[in-house]
Amino acid sequence: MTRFRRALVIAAAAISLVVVAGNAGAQQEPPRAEPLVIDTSLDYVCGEAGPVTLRVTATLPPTGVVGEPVEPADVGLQLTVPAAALAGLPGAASVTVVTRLDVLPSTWVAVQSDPVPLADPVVLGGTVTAPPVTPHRVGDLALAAGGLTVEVTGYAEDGAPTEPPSAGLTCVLAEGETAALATVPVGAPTAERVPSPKTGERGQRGQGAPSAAPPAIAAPPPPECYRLPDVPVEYRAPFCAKVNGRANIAKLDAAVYQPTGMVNITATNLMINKCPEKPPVGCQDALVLPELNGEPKYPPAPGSFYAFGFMPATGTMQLTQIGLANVHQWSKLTPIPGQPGEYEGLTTVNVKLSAQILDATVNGVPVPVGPDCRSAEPIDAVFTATYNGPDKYSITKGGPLMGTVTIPPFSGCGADEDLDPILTGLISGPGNRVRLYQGAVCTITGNNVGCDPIAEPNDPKYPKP
Amino acid sequence: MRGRLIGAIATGAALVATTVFAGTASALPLVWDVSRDDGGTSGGFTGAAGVTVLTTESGIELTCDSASAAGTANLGTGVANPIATLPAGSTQFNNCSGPFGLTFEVAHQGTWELHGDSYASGVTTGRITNIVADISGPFCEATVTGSVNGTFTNSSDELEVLPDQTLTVSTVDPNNDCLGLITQGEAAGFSGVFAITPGLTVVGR
Repeated sequence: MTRFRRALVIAAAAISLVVVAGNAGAQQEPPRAEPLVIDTSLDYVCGEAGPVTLRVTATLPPTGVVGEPVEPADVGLQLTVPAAALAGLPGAASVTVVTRLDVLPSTWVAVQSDPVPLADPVVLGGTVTAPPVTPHRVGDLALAAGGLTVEVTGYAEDGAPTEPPSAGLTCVLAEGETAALATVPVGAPTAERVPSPKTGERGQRGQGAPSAAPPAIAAPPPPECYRLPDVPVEYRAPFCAKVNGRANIAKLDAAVYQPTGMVNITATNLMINKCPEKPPVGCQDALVLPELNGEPKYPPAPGSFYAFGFMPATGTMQLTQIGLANVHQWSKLTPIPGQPGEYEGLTTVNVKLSAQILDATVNGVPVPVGPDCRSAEPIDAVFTATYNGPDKYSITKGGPLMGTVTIPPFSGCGADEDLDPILTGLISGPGNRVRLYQGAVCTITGNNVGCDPIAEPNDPKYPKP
Repeated sequence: MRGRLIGAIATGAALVATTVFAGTASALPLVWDVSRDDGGTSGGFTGAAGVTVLTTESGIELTCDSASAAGTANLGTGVANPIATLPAGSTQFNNCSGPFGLTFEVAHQGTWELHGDSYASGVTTGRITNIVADISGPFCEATVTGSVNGTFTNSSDELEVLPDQTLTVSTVDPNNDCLGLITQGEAAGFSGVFAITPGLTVVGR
């Protein structure tokens, strides 16, 4: 090749490199309509077992909306493991694996259940479960890779499990490795929300009020809000409110979040000085029923925890209310002396619930609980709230309600085998602290404040029960 | 003779009476001398209060963490009532709450007037009249009207509203009836102390 032509070739190569680089640069900023693509290899170090490489692939929607789940799709977790890392499984000819990657606030789990012949290195994949993430604030939802745990099960030439059968690898990102996977910009939801009126706008009748803002519009309450039928006539004032919560399952030492559900409330008038409590107090009673597609249920609550302290497990529980919940609230009419705005009183909610376990997995493997796995007796729960102090509650603005609940034994669990003893052993018992959060009430007739919940329960600022 | 004595006594008594009345003539002033302590000529003033309390006949107290006011004093000598006016929206009540964790907002409607009724030793006793205040909260829309008694003290520049229940809950919206917390027709009272700036001197004669 003449020197001139070689120069041309080099120049062309250089130009194409630039173009490719330019394209690569362009590809890092996909046009809005295109989904975000994750395809990255991350180096991890698994303690004494040494290094492994994890290739993470996924597609994400290009944008998100506050309150709506962002669902990763086509997720791949491909692990490249040198044979040296599996020295803990002597005589292994093939392996299966469960790979768990923290992608806060959730965990992506890959289950490779068909044995893969051992090689050096061995490449392991599997079916991935990557739960959706619901953002609660406008801004950037940043997904980043965190800790990696790998549970490898070895099989000898004859197919029998090795001794020991499994080895666990606990891995952290190698130094200098970047954890960022993708950033999804999150926008505000579209205008179906009822905005809370600003201070001073409500109640202005327009008689020459200097504020130019119009009076707050009484938006119609959501369709799930309705007056409870068949209640005694003195329960005359209908409201609805959103409720979510957080429970600490004592035996598992795990937090389970109850996602936001809607409750309908009908309340009596406030009675002044005609109450069981010593005057000067006011009191009020109310009846409450949750509403989910016409049933007295709360949305299913997914939970994940370590069974027996080490076995990764997940479960979805759904609460059904049995009958109406009774509320009695009393309050002093005047504030605590020296503490304006702080009124002594108590709201007590008595409610009976039935808990059904809808599904469960252990080590990523589904456990067939059957269609009727539920608490053998009603959960008899009492929640209370006060109107003063740091956890103050307001009957109209909502707030925290607290209680300690006994989870009864489970029955009807297990499609192929009786899982009642295991689930009862794992979960049932006393001392489960629950913190419910009621949001502001919507009034069904009359002026309207908006039913938004106080926060979503997996919000980091949500206090422990 | 007796007639003249009686007449003299009567005249004396009348004289004494006149003197007595003349001595307390300042208890029934009709005009006011209103001035700014700094000699300024603009009548605008503001007031700031800490905790204020609205009470109702049934014994409920609604407390607001703080309040403010802005009005115009009728500066001059020989001024007739009102001594000052507070136009619509010129009072603000912040962070108002009641029993059960209920929260309220208070909106000042119309022009409220400060009237002096009597004066003694640097203290004007009078009323704030023409009060119309809308109280609102979830499921609650009510209006309180009437007047309140109060004093203004020159030395401290404090306008103190006295808690006498001279207000009336004139309306409660039947569709937002405050769940019976406030009932139409019941009496109400208000108390709070407003520090007035700039300093004013009000003298009645």
